[in-house]
Amino acid sequence: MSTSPLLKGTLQTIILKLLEDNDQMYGYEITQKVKELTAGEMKLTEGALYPALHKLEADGLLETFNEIVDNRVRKYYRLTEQGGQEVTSKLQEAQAFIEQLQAVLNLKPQAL
Amino acid sequence: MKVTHEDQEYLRSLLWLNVKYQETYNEVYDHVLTAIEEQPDTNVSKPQAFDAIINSDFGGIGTLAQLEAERAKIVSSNIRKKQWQYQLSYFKLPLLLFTVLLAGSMYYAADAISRKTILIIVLSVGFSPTIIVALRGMIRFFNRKHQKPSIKDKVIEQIGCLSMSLFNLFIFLPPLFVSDDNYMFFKQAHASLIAVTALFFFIYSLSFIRVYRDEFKMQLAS
Repeated sequence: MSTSPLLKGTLQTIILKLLEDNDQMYGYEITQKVKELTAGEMKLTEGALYPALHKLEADGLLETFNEIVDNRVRKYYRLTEQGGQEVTSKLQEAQAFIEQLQAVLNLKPQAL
Repeated sequence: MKVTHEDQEYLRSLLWLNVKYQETYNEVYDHVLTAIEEQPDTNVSKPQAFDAIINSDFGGIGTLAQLEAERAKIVSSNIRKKQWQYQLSYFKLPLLLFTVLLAGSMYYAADAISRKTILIIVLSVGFSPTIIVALRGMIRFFNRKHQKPSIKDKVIEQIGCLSMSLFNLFIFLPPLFVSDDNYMFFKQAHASLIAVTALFFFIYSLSFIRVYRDEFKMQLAS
């Protein structure tokens, strides 16, 4: 899928869900986790990831803190309380959207 | 790939020349180094490897400016919105009581005490954001010479200096362009206008201090 435009609309949901599952992550770690979970099919570009992270931070859904790792500053992101509540509604939104897409495009889930 | 001290120095110089804010500098620096450390050893030189990562992950060194501009816009809008909300809070209960009391006191003081004293009070209050910003700038300059300014610092500087600019624009500058004593705001203005002016600078400065505390996690001495 790489950096498909389809991904843009769900980027915030992906970030929020990953942070819910992983407590705290830094930018590079998020891109690698997405790559790992999708077996390399989905690649987040940092040009899209960082603005999304900064927007979520400004909206109060994420908070950041710095840690010194190998003599350099590493910025970690984690969910705020408000962010934690937002994950559920974002996931429900995504679920409803996928169901609607399936209905409109007549998509059938692929057999494993 | 193993990264040497010289490689790190090269990356630092590259980013120092192409990045405006410390937040971007830290984030991109850590990202590129982490990415390169996870790559297997090859014959590619480190500068080439750094460029390749910056190109593939960020769309090139030139794109970093765009990334920063977007971030600055988000941070600026967020901080200004917060200050505006704090200003509005002085016109809602419970702070409305403070505002009414302050306006009444200034209205009374405008006739009861000398206008020079009022000018000094309003001047001190109006310039306090600029002084706070200047002090922070000095501390930053002496403590962290090798750091770039942060986006928050830039936005807070702009908000802090606006108070002083407004004061200069409406109170200090006009007399310079009017002969004799035809424009002496604090001497001639009606008490109500003095009260409104004082109220504006009080509310602006107090909301600035609240935003400053939020953004830099400062606690005022109790």
